[in-house]
Amino acid sequence: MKGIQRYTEEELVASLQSRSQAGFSYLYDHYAGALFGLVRSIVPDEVVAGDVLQEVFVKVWRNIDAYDPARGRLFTWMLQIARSSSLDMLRSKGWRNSQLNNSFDDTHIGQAGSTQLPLKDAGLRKIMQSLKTEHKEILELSYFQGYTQEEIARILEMPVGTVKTRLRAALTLLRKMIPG
Amino acid sequence: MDIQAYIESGAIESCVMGMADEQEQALLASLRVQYPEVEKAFRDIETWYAARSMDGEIRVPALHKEKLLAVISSPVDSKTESKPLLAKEAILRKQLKKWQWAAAAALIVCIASAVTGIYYYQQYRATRQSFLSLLLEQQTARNQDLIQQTRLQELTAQVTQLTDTAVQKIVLSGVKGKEENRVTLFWNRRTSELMLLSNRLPQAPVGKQYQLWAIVNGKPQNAGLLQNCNEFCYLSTNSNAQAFAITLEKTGGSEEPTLTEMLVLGQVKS
Repeated sequence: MKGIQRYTEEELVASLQSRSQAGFSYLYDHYAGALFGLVRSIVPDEVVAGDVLQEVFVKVWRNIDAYDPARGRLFTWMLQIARSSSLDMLRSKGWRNSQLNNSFDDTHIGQAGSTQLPLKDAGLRKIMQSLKTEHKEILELSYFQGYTQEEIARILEMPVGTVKTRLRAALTLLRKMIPG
Repeated sequence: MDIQAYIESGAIESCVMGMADEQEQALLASLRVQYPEVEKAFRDIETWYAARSMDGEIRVPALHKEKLLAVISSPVDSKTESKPLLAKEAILRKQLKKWQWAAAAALIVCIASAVTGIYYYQQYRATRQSFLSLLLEQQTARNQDLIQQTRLQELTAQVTQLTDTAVQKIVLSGVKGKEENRVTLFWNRRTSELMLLSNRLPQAPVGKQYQLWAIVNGKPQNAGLLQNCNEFCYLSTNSNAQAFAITLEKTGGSEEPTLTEMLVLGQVKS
């Protein structure tokens, strides 16, 4: 984390709940980079990913009262919002249409290849690269593409139970690669 | 239930990372309350997930924060969803960008066709101008041709006239003091026509005219004024002249020649 931490998590949550812009600014400074990394690992387009990130922070700001510390850390909650917002974007009609027409888009022409692929060289995606194909595949479908276990079972033509087991095995291996 | 096996199964990771279904989430919530080791494992996994997410941190353009602070500062009810989501706005903006591209492309096509139009119009004008010039040249050439033909006919007629056996050539030479002057007469004795060729005769001064005299038995008879001459002046005399002379007279001619103004004189060879 960057800078000198001035807030404990409880203080930060309390600050956000009291609609403190200073608290929000601190939240952004400390978590935007990591959240953007997650969003960019799912949303290929840098500009759209930037807007998803913005949406994530607006959701956090507007829904801070719904955050329940008993269910997990603030950052875990924010990561879940970031991941689900990114997946929602990939499923949106607007995004799909924009992908159909993307040959007309200047961003695609100007920066093809550099901004149009999800980031693979950072975070979980980076660690994932050393896993076996069957584990990589299931993490890609589940975590980065947001398919449910039932959907993955249909895609990979295997029982849901096998999907569940394989996913858990992949996660255990992933965690063992870089513990702590 | 084997709690240790549960902890090591990866089930908690799948819940923390959002890949588990509601049933699995509910089971974890329940086990966390019941088993401190599950709670500890949950906290460890959260820490691990947070650390790995921090590893994936990337730079965010500074502009995003400014825009975001402006959004959260706006007096919008924090619970309402009436405001379009920013990501949707982004897509709309992308689509708008496409329209801008399309509009720009259409504009370029318009300008290109206008430029092409102007170019072809100018080409048309230039071609039309060239065509009119050619038409004019052709007309001029035709006129020239007609002139030449007429001239040729004239010359042919003159040659015919001059080569008539009845034609007598009389050379009028400059008189004393005016030797540089010279005129040739072709006299058709049969038709009385006179063709006068002014070889060397100065331009008559203003108000004066040359007059031809036929000298019959020493007396001058008016044989006409030298006017409307091209190569030849056409005159006539039905006299039986022995000589011809030209004097400079007032415009309109005189009854009697001004002898001091005589320029040329020539005898008719019998």
